Amino acid sequence: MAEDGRKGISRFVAAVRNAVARHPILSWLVRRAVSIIRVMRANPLTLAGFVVVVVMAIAAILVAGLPPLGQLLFGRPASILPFGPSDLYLDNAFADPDIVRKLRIASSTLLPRFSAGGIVSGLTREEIMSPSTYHILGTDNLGRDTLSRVLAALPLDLVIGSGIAGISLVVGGGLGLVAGYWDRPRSIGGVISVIIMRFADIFLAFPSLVLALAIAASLGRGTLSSVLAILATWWPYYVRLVRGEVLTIKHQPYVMAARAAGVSELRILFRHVVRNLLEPLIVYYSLDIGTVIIVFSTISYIGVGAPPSTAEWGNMTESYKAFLPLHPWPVLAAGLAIFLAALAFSLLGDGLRDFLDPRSRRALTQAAAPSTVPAVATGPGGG
Amino acid sequence: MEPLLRVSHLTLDYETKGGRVRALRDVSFTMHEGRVLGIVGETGCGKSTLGHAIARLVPEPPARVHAGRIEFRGNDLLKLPKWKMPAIRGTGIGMIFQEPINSLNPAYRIYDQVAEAVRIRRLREAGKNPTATFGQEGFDYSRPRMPTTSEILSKPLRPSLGRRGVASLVSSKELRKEVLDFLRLVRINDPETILDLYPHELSGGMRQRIMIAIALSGRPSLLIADEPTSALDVTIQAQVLTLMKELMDEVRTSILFISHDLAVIAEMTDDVGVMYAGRIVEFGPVAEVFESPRHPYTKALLRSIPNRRKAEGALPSLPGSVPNLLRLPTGCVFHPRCPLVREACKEPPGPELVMGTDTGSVGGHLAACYFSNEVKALP
Repeated sequence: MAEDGRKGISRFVAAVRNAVARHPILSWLVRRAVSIIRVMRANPLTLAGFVVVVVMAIAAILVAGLPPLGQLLFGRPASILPFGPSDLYLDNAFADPDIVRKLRIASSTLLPRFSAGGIVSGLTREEIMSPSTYHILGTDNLGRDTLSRVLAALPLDLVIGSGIAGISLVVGGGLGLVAGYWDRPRSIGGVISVIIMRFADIFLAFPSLVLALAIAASLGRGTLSSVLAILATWWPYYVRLVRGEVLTIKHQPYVMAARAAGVSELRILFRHVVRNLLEPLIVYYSLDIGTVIIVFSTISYIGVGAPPSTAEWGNMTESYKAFLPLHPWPVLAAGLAIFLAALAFSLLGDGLRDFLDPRSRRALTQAAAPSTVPAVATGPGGG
Repeated sequence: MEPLLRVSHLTLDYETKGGRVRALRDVSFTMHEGRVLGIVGETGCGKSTLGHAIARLVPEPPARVHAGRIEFRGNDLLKLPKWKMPAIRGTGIGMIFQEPINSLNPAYRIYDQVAEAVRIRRLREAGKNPTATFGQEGFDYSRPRMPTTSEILSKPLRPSLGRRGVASLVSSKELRKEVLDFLRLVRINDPETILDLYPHELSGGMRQRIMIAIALSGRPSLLIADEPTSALDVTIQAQVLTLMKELMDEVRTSILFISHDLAVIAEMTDDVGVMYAGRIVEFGPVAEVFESPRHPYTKALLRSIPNRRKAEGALPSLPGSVPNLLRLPTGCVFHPRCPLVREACKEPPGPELVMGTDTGSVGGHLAACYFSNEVKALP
């Protein structure tokens, strides 16, 4: 009897595998999933980075997206934060202690809840609290829950990080493509390439911090001015990276083979050149997100970034650093958040590089370090 | 009948910091449909440059065509603007390269790469690509000319593409079928298994077959093979050459076979041109050139092939070395190493590629030597 059951199951499994193998989209998905799983199992660090990034992304979406969604659906903003980022809660002594306690119990679980929102009453406990059951990471000097503030800063920092790096990638990458692909000796393309590179050099000369201060002084402080400052100093790195890669790829034999097969120049550019460009570019992008988060937090720490009352990791580090000797939790929480975010993106970037290079996917199971595509340029001079 | 390819007095220079390197000097030859022409010579003699120059794949800024014409089906390729060349490549002129691992894009699977070539050809055959088929129609795009009535009537009407339009030409089902057909054409037994593989997951012989499949899927009239087997070991080389010979019978493509291996040339080609320092020094039917060479360089080349049976004695070789292309000898390029050298050989310009004055050479056996009659007497 058990025999028949096992045979039936194996036949079913075989049938499912056949069906999937025949369907092009499904089999592609399955192959992708299998290779991702294989990468993850061989490289625990990559897995850790991947998991943390995914968790952060989901948390950021929920933190930022649930309140308006709740407003839309239920008429009141929903939230996964145990407390609002600016919520000031009372301790014991207040008009309706039971309600407050019930609210606290209900909201100490990270389930969507309807936020009480805002300042409950004029009476506040202006005292920093250590981690307790209700406040997992304690509160800050105004009674605001640390965990909520750290989580509330998550979408802001993530969006700024990936946004700045993304815009730099698009703008810088596009310019790098132009500067690299049509750069031939004694041609218009060469002149344009020189112009682009020297223009990029101008912006490379500025340190992000100094430029942020200057822009803050002229345009006023705030998130937008600091973002503009970082953007201005960030895009040239991508120009250099992309141009270097394009120059190498341009001379590869497979590009000439594609040309010999009659592929038009534009299609070569977008299909062959760009696809081989992606590996270092995506790795650099992931690493860059971490770096931008750190830079933005630093700028906010100094005071020219996000406004002081906004929940932002750099801001929080600056506000709470005075309490370090006795109450290290707020600073630690904010600092750890920055660290974890940057680390997760670094690990993910490394893992992505291994994953994207088809050649090193084999080596992944031995967890070996991959190499870049060997640049053997053979041209008509070979004989 | 119009020759498929006629190269006349092609001279190509590379502008380098050290000076002007004349990679091709006054190269002229003719190729007819269905024939295989071999170009043989030492490393650095310019044969690869010649192959690339015919398809205009030599990067133009450092290289410059100084003089000459390349007439493909009667149309001068050098007069065409560069952006029109992709129309000819693939379906008119195809090319396979020396290192198969480097000639396939490592980021794409085999199916994608072969399908790309098939897709290009199908679009061109339907006239959907603005750079329409050139080589197959034999249409003259370099000079504006109205087609004659008979030409218009002789071409089949293009069938309407149906509701799906261009997508029906490049539908994945049809593409896949054609890709599999071309892979079977190059004798890959189970093509379905390799479709999803990447180039680095295949052996060298397999990769070279795939390159041949990609080149043939454009159905070119002229296939330029630039040392296709030099990167393969001898057994795989034999397989690929056998495959190419069989394909020559199946597919009516003329081949320009470039190699440094005299044995391969002897086996595969109908006519041969021997190159030295950028010039063709001898040209003719391969049996005649190899049995009775009429240029001292060819004779020396043939003599220097190691012979298994004659095991004793020193290996005969040519004295001297290939000249520096920046400082070529005056007159005949070969004269510093030639056993027949006379005063006349040093005077510019050097000897032209001409028919011999002695009898017995029919079918255009040419040699660039003033004293080609005496070559027979050389040891």
